[in-house]
Amino acid sequence: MALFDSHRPGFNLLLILVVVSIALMSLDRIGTRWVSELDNGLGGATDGVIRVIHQPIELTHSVFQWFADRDQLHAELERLREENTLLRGQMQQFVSLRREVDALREMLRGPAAEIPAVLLARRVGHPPRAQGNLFTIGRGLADDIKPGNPVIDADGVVGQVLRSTRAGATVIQVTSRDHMLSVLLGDTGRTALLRGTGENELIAERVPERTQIAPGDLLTTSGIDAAFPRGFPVAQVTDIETDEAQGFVRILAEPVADLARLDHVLVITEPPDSPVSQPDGEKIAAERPDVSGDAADVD
Amino acid sequence: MSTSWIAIILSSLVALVLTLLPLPPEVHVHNPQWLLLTVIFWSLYRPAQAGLIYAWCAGLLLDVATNGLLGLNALLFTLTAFLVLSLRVRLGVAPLLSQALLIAGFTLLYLAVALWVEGVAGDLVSMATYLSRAISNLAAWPVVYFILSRLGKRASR
Repeated sequence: MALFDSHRPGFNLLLILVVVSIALMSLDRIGTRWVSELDNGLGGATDGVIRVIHQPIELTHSVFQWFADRDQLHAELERLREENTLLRGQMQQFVSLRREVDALREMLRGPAAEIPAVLLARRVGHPPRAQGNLFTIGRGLADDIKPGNPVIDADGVVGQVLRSTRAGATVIQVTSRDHMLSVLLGDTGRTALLRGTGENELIAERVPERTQIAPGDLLTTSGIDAAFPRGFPVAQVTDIETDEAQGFVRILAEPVADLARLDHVLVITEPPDSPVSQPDGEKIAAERPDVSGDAADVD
Repeated sequence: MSTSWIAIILSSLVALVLTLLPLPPEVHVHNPQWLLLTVIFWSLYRPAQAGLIYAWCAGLLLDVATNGLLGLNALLFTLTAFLVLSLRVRLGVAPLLSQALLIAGFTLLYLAVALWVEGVAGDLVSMATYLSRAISNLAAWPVVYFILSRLGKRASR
């Protein structure tokens, strides 16, 4: 009888599988090309599974929308129309301002301001994770979405693309514990690294005490990390704590993007501020000593 | 035989779907590890078909689906399946309750190893260099064995 055959597994096979797993983990950590290809290939299947699971939810959502109140729909339409007019009005100003900035930059022999290309994507699900700071969007490799592309919503930075497959892409939010980005602290011109905590809070550690920053100030992307273009709002300072180490403060901030209710997001598909832009390059050079100086202070 | 293959693959897929179900985070923490339980069941009752390689593949699939560290669940699934397969003769005929208790015990081990690996994960890059040492040890062993056994024979003579 099958139950009483001893199917003792071979030690050799176990050892081989263990070594392969450890090698895979290390290579994944290092970020090897063929491991990420394996991840993308298999991820296409699992992302498809996640999408299929989410279909019933989408369906109930659309059914509810069907039965939504007529007045409510009209109110929504009215609100959107107003918002659209407002935005278009502001856009006119923006166009003329951009022309002005370009003219000024030309005088300084700098390149024109580049507006990155964005792609609208819809959230289709989220893979399970203890912290739950990932979600899947309905666009992927086919739409030229690559890992590392920044993701924003109407208010600010949402996160970055972690993995892109044929079936969609996985986005990691800025609040994830595994995410970090470089930000400008208000108008001070100083940069800091902002890391997620797993909750709706971001932390910048080891900011010099003399930095002129107060609760309510906006933190924007610095562009130094070459992942996010410069100038997108990320978070608003909520509190400033004195660090244990003397001379430093810790900045607590909360993301400006509405991470709890993400429906549509924008993916920035073009590489951000390429290093060829001269004025930015000078700025980076000017800011770098500052950053490294801080790092030296930390040590 | 072929039907059991289909059953194994189908049940693993269903378990994966159950794992990936969108649940609020409070509930999600308590969601059982369906895929692991499926792997344990098949290694208990169909060890000829579902062995270590099956467990490894299921773990890798879970890693990819959850965007985790690639290979972590593959390693843990393989170890669990090995444990189950070696205790199979005793575990297979045990009453359901004691089976459940043992599986809870396995899960505790599983979580302990998972925590440990996540702690080490920062150093996994240096782990890769150690791994190359393991492979060079593998290659050097026959040489060492040959020389030392020669030496041992000569000394005992």
